[in-house]
Order: sequence, then structure tokens, then C-alpha cells
Amino acid sequence: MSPAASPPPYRGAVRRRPWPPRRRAAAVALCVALAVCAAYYLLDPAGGMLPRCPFKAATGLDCPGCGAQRALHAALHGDLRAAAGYNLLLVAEVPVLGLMLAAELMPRRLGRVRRVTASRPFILTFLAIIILWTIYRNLCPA
Amino acid sequence: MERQYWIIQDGIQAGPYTLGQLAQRGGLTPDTPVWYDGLADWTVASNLPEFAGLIGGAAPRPAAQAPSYAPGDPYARAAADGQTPPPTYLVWAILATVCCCVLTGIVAIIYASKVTPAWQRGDYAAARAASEKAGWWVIISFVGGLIWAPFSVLFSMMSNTL
Repeated sequence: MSPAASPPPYRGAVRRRPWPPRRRAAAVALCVALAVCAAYYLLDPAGGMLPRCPFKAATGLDCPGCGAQRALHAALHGDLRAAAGYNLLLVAEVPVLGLMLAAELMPRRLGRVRRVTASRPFILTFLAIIILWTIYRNLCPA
Repeated sequence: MERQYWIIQDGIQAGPYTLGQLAQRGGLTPDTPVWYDGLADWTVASNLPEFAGLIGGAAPRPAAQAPSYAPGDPYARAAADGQTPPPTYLVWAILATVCCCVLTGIVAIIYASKVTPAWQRGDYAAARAASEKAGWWVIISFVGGLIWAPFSVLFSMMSNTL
């Protein structure tokens, strides 16, 4: 081995400051959300270029989320009424999901909200609504 | 031969040292300038992954304060500090349920519902386990959906052309 090289003159070193993980995760999530919105703005689910529901493919029944792609496409084109027609539950739960996400991200500031949204009765009620909605939409298709 | 490092401490350049010698020497901070043969210029210790274990590990830590929780258990530690319970991942579980995978999504929701009760009765290990299981079922759902999606698109394109 050759004699070890000597270090260059020190002119100060730059410390790379990585983004904090939370901010990085938020940035990634924002990019994914924008990409999804762009895709669903441009692509019409009726065109057959988007994936179909595996539950519906397997059983022929509407799952709780069926219509979500058509609803997102309609909502992005400003037609909330049509979106609600494709999947009423999804449109109705968007504000609730937003509040839950905010409570999850800011547990200190929204501690009271989080105590409710993380509680067992709330979660089981939500689950019951999803199941009842699924039964209803299959028995009484709009 | 092991890599040799130079450092600057208290304004004085020192080296070369191996990693082991640096560990013994101690006193490294995230901002300690470091150079080794192959680097164009000095960097700082926090930029080098091999220094992660050495930074701040200089003085042997006082063993006086015996922790009441298992070391390396962040959840138990958080509980001892009176912090918030582990995440339920409920938002993601619901999105998984309505986006692709009803059955695995519902499993995730059920695990999410077990986090807070366990936390409230002081069973932090169970709360952590339920939280992690909810998280894993969310991941399984989304991975399953991502695997399904291209097959589904391909299939519907083929059936359109046929």
C-alpha cells in the first residue's frame, strides 16, 4: 500500500441537513396524491385503462369502495353530485378521514379529536357503517 | 488495510485513526470534520454512516439511572413519559378497505380498534402489537392492490380488444 495520502487543507465542511423524516414522508405523500389526482383527472375509469375491483371481479358484488375511481374522476372534474352517485359513503367520509389524518399527524394539538377517532367505539361504528353500506348498496343498487 | 481517518478536534487536525481508534478516543460530535483518502474534501461525522455509532458515544454513559422500561423499547418509554399511544393507522386501513382490498382492510380496522383499549388498561405491549399488526395489514392491502392493478388493466385491455 502506498503511503497514506495527507488530507486537503480544511476550509470548513458542509453538513448535509436531511429533511426530518416526517417532512419527507409528507412530501412523498403529497407527490403520490398529486400523481393519483392527475392520473384520475386524465383517465376516465369507463375507458378500461384503470384497474378493476378485485372483490367485484371475484364475487360480482359491489365492495364498499366500488365507484371510487369513477367518483374521483367526477369530483376532479367538479361534478360532486355525480361523485356522490358513484359512491355516497366515500364522498361523505372524506371530511372525516381528513380530520382523522390531521389528528394522527398532530396528536398534541388535536389530542381531543384523536382520543375520539382512536377509540374502539368510534372505529367499530365506522366499520359497522362500512358493512351496512355495503349490504345496502348491493340490495338496493342506485 | 483498514480505512484511515483524519479528524479536526478543538481546531487541531489529528490522524490517521482507524474506526476502532476513533471509538476509543471518543469526543466525536455530529459536526466533527472528518476526512479519509478518497474524499475530495472534508465532511462532517454525521454525513458518514460508519460514524453513527461513534457520535456522542464518547464518554461511557452513566449507568446510574436504571430505566424502568426495557431498553430499546420506544413505546414503553413513550408510555413512561406520558406520550400519545401508538398510531392506529385507521385512515390508511379505511382507505385500503375502500380502495382495493376489503377483507385485509377490515382486518386492519379490527386491529386498529384494539390499540387504544390496550393502551388504556396499561398493556403497552399489546397496544404496540395491535398497532403494528394494523400497519402490516395496511401494507399487505396496498401491496396486494399494487400487484393486482397491472393484471387488471392488462386483462380489461385484452378483453376490450377481443
